[in-house]
Amino acid sequence: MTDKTGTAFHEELRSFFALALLNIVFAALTLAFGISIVVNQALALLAAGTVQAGPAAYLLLGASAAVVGLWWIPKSVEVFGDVEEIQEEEASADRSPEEALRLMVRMMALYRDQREVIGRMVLVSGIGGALFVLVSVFNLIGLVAQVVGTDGATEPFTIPIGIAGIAVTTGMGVAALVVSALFRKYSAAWDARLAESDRMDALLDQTMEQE
Amino acid sequence: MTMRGRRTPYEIYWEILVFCRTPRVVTQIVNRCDLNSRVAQEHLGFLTGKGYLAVIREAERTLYQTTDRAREFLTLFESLHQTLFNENPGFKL
Repeated sequence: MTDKTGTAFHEELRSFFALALLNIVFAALTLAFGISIVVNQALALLAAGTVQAGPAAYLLLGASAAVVGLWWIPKSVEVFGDVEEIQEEEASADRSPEEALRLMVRMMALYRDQREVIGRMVLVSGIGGALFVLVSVFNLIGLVAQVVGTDGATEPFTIPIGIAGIAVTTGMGVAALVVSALFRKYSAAWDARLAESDRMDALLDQTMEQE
Repeated sequence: MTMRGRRTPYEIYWEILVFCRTPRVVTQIVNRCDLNSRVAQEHLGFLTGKGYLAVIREAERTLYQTTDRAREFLTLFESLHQTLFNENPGFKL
């Protein structure tokens, strides 16, 4: 195992650590936004006294985001905790090729365990991203309706604040979709290695059988 | 370090054999290779049977040490993994 391979693995571990951390952030934001929408829309519906289609749909959207966040956070923390352990061990280990290989083997074992969870993470972060984008669309429709309804005579900061809110949720939606794509890329890389590892096991088995 | 993760038997054998280049007692092997005692005994029994590990009895201790016979397995494992990581593109942000 060469130093070059060890260095490449070190970079890969750092990248995945960053991705796992980013994932937790978006999971938490999805939950927070979901709850915030549910509370605001529930209060609006209670104040209105009747069930209105728009706020009800928005409330449902918020509830979906909260549910997604509730699943996403513990799974993200689990994945993050595991990769953090490996990273800590890598930081304290000597830089020998053997130590690098030992950690790569651990990483492969970890991926075998996490594979299903990461597959669901790809889906869930994609759903989270889509929900944020939908929230942006809802907010945009609401803002346009408000402006049109008042013939442009809105409160002074309504439009800029509204646009800022839409920009934030759109940005978060896009970022969550990027997290989903990055997890897919990570999965593809490790799936290829696992497939190759199965073939290697057959060769190792042959070597041991011959003795 | 204790962590989850499904290692193949060959990955465990490799870890044990590398660690046992210096004579080790079972407790050390269990801790280092993150195994439970029963599984460790099974693997040690297998590797000893294959001649990959030698048993050294010292006063009240039993130690295990990797033999020359394990060299081919270790070399093959390492070169296969080198190829695995070099030829399969990794993940980078």
